[in-house]
Amino acid sequence: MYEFLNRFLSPRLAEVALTAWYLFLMVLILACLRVPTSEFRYANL
Amino acid sequence: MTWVEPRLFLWAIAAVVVAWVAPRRWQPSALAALGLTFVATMDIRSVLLLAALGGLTYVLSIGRKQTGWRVAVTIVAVSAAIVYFKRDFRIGAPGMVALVPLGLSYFGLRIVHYAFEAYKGGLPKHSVADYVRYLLFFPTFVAGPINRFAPYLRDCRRRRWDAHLFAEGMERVLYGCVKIVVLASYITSLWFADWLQAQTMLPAWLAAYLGCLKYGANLYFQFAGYSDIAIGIGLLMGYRIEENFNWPFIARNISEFWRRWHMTLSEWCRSYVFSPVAATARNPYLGVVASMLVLGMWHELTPRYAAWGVYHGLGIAMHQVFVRLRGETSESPGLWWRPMGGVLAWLLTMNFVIVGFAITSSDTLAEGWRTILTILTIER
Repeated sequence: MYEFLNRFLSPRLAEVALTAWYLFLMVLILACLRVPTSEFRYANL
Repeated sequence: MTWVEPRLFLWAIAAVVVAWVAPRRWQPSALAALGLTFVATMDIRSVLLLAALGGLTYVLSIGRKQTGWRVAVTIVAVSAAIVYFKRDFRIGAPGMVALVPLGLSYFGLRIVHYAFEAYKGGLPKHSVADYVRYLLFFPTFVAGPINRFAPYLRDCRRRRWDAHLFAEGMERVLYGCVKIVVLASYITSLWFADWLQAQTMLPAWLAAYLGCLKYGANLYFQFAGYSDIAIGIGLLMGYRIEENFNWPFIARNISEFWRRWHMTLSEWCRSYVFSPVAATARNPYLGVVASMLVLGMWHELTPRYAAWGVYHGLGIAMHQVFVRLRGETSESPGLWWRPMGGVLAWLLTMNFVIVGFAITSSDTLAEGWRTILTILTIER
């Protein structure tokens, strides 16, 4: 992801954008965690 | 059991800490001990069964002169264990997972891989401790990917602290959680499922088709997510685990699909089912169907998974016949690089896969068959 961002942004901005992206994903995960995780049928076969 | 449970994440954190804090010489053994403790605390009888299978395989695989019967005994022992414990196992049925020794299916594939490679003389020089550590490798124990012995051993010997690799591992775990929690559980299994249920005016074929699409999307995001987390934990520990998915839903033919979906399993089947069967029967198409049948039955010993395996096997065989008749190799551009041909090929492939999910998403083969007929608007 950093390499992709670095193509369009300066290294410093790419780092900031990457941090923002990770924070966004973490918030998204936490927000969706209120929904029970659907069962993974293919674990521990 | 899922990776997104706090207790499994705690085990993962413990594994990463042990991987770097333990004295270097003892790191692989410490990780194996952690893996063993993990299995023992989850299900003690699994330790006994897996130890017996693993021990038998090692005893049969060591020694300078390897014969085919040693591999055959390993295969029979693993198959017998899988048949015995999974004969009544049904994917998705509540409580079923607790009846199967932890990680049996993946463990079985690893020891058969080890036995075959020992027979072919393809194993690097190693000790019994290396073998045990490989079998108890924590990240891949429960849900794969099916990592191979040689790359694992190479990583054991070469791993060094690498901040970039560690960061890559963190990113990978994060993406895995997004796939499982956001894409699979929330968007597919909740939002899309609710939307689909509310569409009472949809034609029956479309409702059935979208149901299969939902099943397939949920399966992919979950499976790819768990693989990402396992690979990510491996990276955090300094190990590069084999990839399991490579954008399968951009495949333009069914052969390509299976080179992108559950890659470690299809590679295992290619090496240890397709090659021997095709060579013995001198018929690659029989090899393909046998390989996919084994792949299907490995999931569940039921008619529906056998049918699903044969369905895909026949699809791959038909594609290979088509490619041969056109005089192309499966890698050559041919028609499929032209835009319209590429789109058509992609649509055909995706619909073949989605319709195939009708078989495994249903409780019985008969129900799956009815779903397929509904999609084809033969039955309402």
